[in-house]
Amino acid sequence: MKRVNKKHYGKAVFQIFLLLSLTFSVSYLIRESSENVVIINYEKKNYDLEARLLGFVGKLIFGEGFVSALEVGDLQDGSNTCLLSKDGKICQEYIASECDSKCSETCIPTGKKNVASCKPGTCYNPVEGACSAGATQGACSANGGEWFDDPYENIQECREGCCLIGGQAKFLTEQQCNRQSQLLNIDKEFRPDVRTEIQCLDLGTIKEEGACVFEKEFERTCKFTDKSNCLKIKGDFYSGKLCSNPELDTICEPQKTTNCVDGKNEVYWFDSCGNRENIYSVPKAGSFKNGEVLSKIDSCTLSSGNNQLANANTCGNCNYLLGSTCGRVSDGEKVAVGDFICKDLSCIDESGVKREHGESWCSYQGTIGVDKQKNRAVDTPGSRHFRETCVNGEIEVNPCADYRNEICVESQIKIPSGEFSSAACRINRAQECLSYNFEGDKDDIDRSDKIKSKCEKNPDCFVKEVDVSDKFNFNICAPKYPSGFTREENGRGEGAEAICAIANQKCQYVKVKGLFSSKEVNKECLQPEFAEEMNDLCMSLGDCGSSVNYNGDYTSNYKITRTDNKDSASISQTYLNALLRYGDPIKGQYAEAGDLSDFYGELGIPGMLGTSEVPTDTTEGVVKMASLTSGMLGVTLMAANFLNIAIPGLTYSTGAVISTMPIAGSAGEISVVAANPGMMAAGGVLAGAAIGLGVVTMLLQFTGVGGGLPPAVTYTLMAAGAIGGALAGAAATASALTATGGTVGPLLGGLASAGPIGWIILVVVVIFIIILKILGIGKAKKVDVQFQCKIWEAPTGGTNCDECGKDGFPCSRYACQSLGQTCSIINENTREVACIDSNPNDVTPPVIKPWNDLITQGHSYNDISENGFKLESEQGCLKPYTQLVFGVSLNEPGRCMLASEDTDKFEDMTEDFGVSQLFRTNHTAIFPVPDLQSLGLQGYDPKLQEDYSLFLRCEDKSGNSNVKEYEINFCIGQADNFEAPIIQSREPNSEFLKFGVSSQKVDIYVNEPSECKWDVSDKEYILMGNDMICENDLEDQTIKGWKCSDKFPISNGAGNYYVRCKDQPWLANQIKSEDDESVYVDNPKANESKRNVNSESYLFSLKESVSELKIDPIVPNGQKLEFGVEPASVEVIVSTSGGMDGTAKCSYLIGGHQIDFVDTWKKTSKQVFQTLYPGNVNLPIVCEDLVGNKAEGEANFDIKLDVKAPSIARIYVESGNLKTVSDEKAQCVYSAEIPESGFSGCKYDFVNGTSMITNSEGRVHSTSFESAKTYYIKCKDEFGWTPGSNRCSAIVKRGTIA
Amino acid sequence: MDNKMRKLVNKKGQMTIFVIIAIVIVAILIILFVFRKNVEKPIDFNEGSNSVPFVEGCARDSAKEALDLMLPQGGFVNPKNYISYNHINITYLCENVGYFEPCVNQHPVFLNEIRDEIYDYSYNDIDECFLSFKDEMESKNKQVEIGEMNLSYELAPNRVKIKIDRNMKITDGDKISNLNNFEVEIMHPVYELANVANEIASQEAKYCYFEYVGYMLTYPQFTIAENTLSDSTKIYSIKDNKSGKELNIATRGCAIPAGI
Repeated sequence: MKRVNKKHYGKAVFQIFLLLSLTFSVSYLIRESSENVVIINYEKKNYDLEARLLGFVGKLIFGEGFVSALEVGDLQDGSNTCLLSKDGKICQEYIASECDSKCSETCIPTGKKNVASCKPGTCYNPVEGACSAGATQGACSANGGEWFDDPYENIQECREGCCLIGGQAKFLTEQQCNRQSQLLNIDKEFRPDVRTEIQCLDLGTIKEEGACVFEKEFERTCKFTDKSNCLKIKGDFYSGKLCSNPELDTICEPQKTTNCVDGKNEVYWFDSCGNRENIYSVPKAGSFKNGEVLSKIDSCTLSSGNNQLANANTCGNCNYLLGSTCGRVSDGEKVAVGDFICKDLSCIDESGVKREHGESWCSYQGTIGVDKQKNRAVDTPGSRHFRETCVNGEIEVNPCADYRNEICVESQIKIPSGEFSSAACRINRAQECLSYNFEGDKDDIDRSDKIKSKCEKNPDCFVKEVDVSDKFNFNICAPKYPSGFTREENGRGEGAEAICAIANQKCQYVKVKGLFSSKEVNKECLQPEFAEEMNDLCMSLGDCGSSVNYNGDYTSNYKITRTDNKDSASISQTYLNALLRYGDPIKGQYAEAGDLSDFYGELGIPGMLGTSEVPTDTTEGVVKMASLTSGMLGVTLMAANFLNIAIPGLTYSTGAVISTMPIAGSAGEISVVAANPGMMAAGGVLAGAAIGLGVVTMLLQFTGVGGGLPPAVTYTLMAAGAIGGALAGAAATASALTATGGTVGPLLGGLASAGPIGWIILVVVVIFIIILKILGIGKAKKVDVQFQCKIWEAPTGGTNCDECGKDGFPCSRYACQSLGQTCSIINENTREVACIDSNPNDVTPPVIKPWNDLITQGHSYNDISENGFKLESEQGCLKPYTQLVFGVSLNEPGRCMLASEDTDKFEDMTEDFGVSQLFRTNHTAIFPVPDLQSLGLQGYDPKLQEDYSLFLRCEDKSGNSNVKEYEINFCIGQADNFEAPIIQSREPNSEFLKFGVSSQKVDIYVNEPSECKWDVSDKEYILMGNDMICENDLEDQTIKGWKCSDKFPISNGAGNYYVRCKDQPWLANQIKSEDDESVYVDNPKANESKRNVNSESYLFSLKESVSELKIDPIVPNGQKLEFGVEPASVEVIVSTSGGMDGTAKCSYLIGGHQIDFVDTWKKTSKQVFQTLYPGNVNLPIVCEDLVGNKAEGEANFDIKLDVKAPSIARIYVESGNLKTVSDEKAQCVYSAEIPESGFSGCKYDFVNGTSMITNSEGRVHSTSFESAKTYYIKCKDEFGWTPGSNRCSAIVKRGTIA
Repeated sequence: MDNKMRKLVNKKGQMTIFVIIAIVIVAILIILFVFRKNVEKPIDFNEGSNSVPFVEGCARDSAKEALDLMLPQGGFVNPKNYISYNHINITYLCENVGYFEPCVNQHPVFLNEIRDEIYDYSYNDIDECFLSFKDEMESKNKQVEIGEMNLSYELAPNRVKIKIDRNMKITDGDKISNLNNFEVEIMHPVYELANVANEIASQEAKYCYFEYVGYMLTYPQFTIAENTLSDSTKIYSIKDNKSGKELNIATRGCAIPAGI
């Protein structure tokens, strides 16, 4: 009978063990078998982006024990670079395991940043004059381009100016302007002094035009054109006059018709000769202006008040930017003369709101962002952000990146007619929010504040406050717009599971029996609010937890388990109803663009380093334009230092701990207080009082009774103890003094007589406490409540697949998959895209088989039948302390659950099976085989073995699961544990420490539960002087083993520490009290002789950094840098030395943000700033090495911009030579050719001029002089600035200088 | 001299003059005839297929065909690195298959590549034109000699200039015709479209973003549509409003993985 009881106890413990071991909590990465379990050292300084991301994932996977679908090799080897892929891609990175198969040549085993031929630069087409950013040298040169080592086009050749050509103004490079002029065989003027696109385009509207009068067929006719064209047709040019001007006496009659003009937006009058006249308006006289050209600004006014088209019938002065353009009159429109009118380009959106031409706004498929009242992020699975635009009277809907990898942000600008919206799809920085929680030094007391500050500065993050109870509250930095996840096989679903698992938290409920009533701590953890608060966190992390999809369909994806096996309180209907509302969008809601300066900084676009030029034209149109084009800067690429490697640990709330919260009993608190009076006591009375108080306090603590007493009773008992002790002490002192013959007199006699009273009081108090203990007062009942946040899963089946796209937004793969497990998208990326139920008639459950390819070496699947199999080792039963990896295969994707007892259906299964709960065909389970003794079966018996059965059910995507359970049988043998424990791992991994540290917290990981000690000299375990704190419970097992910790003192810069361990702590002479783990009690099952102890020490070496980390001179610093291109690119280089090994991560501070250099974690860190504008640049720089050594420095330099062509300061003739002196270093050329009539002699290109001889200083330029010639001189400075194609630096007219 | 005599003399003089005039006219005619015989004269093939318009038309058709094929596919006749969108293989101008980082400009000298692409596509076509013209002439008993062909294209604003430098000598009996240097110009906005595409690729490489609405407002001659696909590929369709010609390109950069 006793045997049976033991067995039942073992089964119960085993169930708990299974819960903890076979499910998510100790799942970890496996490759092909357990032999290949790899722990990756994430402190390796591989900082390319993918590696950094993987590092972050690695923290999730390994730090918290999760699994990823990514290959171990991928994580370790990172990416390789392929110069040319088989499908023609240039310079791409592929994960190491795939690279060679995708590449047309051998892959280079490093990231592309380290491959010179993949370095991005600017490619300049010397013939066409076009520039391309982000080009590799190979691709550029192969097609005739010239490559420059600046990826941002900040080079002279790419500098744009205004090209006036063929009556148009184009913002082009000089070579583009030349090329177009050459190709079209027409004159051009290049104006390098015009430096913005808008200024240039404006020039196109103010060109000189007029009447060109000529004879044709004996009639005086006319063509309205510019001067150069007029000269070509040999007419007489009358600038600023219309052909119908009466003074010109032509045959052309004014204002005969109206029409639109190609390339212009206004409605124009046309004369009888077909010439364009002024902008249409009536009365005619106003727009005729006696035959003079009337500028746009002096023409009629189209708008009146807020109505931009109020005068459309009488005025053709349309304005494209303000939302009108010339068009034919349509039904319902009226115009005073002709058939053309200013057409309205505005739109009416789906809500009936008028949208201006050029306006853009966001639309969403549900509620977005943070529900401030509930403090949770609410973007629904499957939903996407969209940007809508109104251009030319038509609304376009453009999706932002799917999976909410982009969010739509919007801002409003006040305009006279109301508000003008500008929207943009920009990258969602959700993953950064999560990474913040992993940053910083765990020992840094300001860590939580730093993380909170960082979180609040990121416009895409919010501080998720979890506040279940006084003892269970913490903060996490969570995304405002959680990312969507893919759950596809071979996708990244497991990584998504790891993100969701951040919300896997355990709350410990404690109930202490009291004298009159019980005391409870964290009782809220047993209530629905625990589930609701935790689900709020869960759904804020991504597509996790219980939530609705964008269609409003709810699925539950969380689990709460209690160690007392009672049912857990689940979320309430009220809570659920609130969730259901998130499927509906909220009118007028949009995401704020936010301050992204730190984000730009990662790109090298630090906004604080200068100001870009803002158009000075303040007309409404230009303001609108500026707001639109500023979107380019408003949206940018993912941060280069996207995710930082950090020390694991999620907590940053002020002192709170996410997992089990410490429960502070009153006795414990007071014991500290009690010790102090004792220490301070002087004299017998005080000493006695202290002893009495101490005894009572200890009793209260050791028995645990104190925890169950009201404070008043506790204090009374302690006071009684103190009084009893004081009396007894006084008596003892009096007796002693009396015995030594002191002169104490009657007082001492009195005190001596009080001694028995004191003792009686003490005895009574002690007896009272013992009685309380017998009555069970102070006994604590602990229940661990575990919340498991699962990845959000779509509803099973596919009945709602056809809802995809019905809401007016395009159907995407993500949206489709969120509607049902069997929903599949077809015809993706075509107009025929559809979401269909891929398996509408599926009624067959998945067929389960053992996964034969996966089982730990030395083990096998035996007794295989359609209903199950048996797991066996070579010895038969499974051997304790081995890691058994096994799995099952399904004939279709499914998810599996298990139970340790028979159940009726899938929903009754209690535990998740496998390392992932995603729908997969193969499911892996990792089973750390426990010791029977640790399961409660005592006594060594080599023949002892226990049989166990697990019951498995798997459900397919249509919701079909096997009716009959699939049985996994195995037995566990008795531990023949004669092996000493093995220390498998240590933290910190590096032996180096920060310079100047006096102690270091260390952890070791042992392969089995053990007690460990350390000393500074190598000696036997028993003689070692320092105990480590070891976490030896079943649930304490981590991927690395069981952890023991302590703090090692550091002296003389280095130290060797010897560690030894002793296994099977449950056989120790003394073990922890069940009621109070801080108390050790005699172990009735003690058997020290059976315990194995290390005979050799594990050497734990630590070494202080040799010196402080130093920043060597920063380049540039204290310099004036001159550029001829705005904005300028500057590379800041920071060299570090000292510290651990001289390598460090450097970052710069800007606008309150600390941004890592793009190229860092080296001895030389580099960062290119691509948009520097004139002015002083001051960059505080902080570098920190791997062990925490820090150094600070500053880069301070001036940016000077030279945007002027050189001027000629002096001209003279000397010794028959014409000499010019330029105001800066320059090269000069001249032309002495006599220009054509009507043209300037300056109309030649610099390259076609005759070079002058320049002196060594570059300032004096000379050529032989002939006084009969006129010299048209042009000079070019070192930045390529010239006066332009039609202007000169100086003209020396003939005869002016002798 | 009496009057009769004078009249006779006058008549004889007139005759002489007439004869001389007649001789001069005949001589001129003979000279003209002889001269004409010795001068190569353009052959009137009389089939409505004069070689110049024939070749020019042929080159024009081939270039147009190439452009019509290329533009929807991102500027390439046979795209290699592409994504299928609406059953069209659209070339990536800028691409990073990985995550987070900006795209790598795949065709940084795009104009040259487009020019070369038209050349590659139409070279054989135009050569075929000459050959079929030759065959046609030879079937009519005319001899045609064709030299080496130098073909070049220039992309210019709103036009494509085709230069064919090829000697062609056509002999029809005693008639000889020498032809070379054919120049064809077709009106097409490929130059502008390619420049916009180049700008998009550059901005995507720099900022992972191109503000197409702002661009459209600045340059109303273009309509640009953008669509972001599930794998973060962006399809840009750039339309020249005047001609209706449309160039599609694909970019992918700064993608974020769905999950990790």
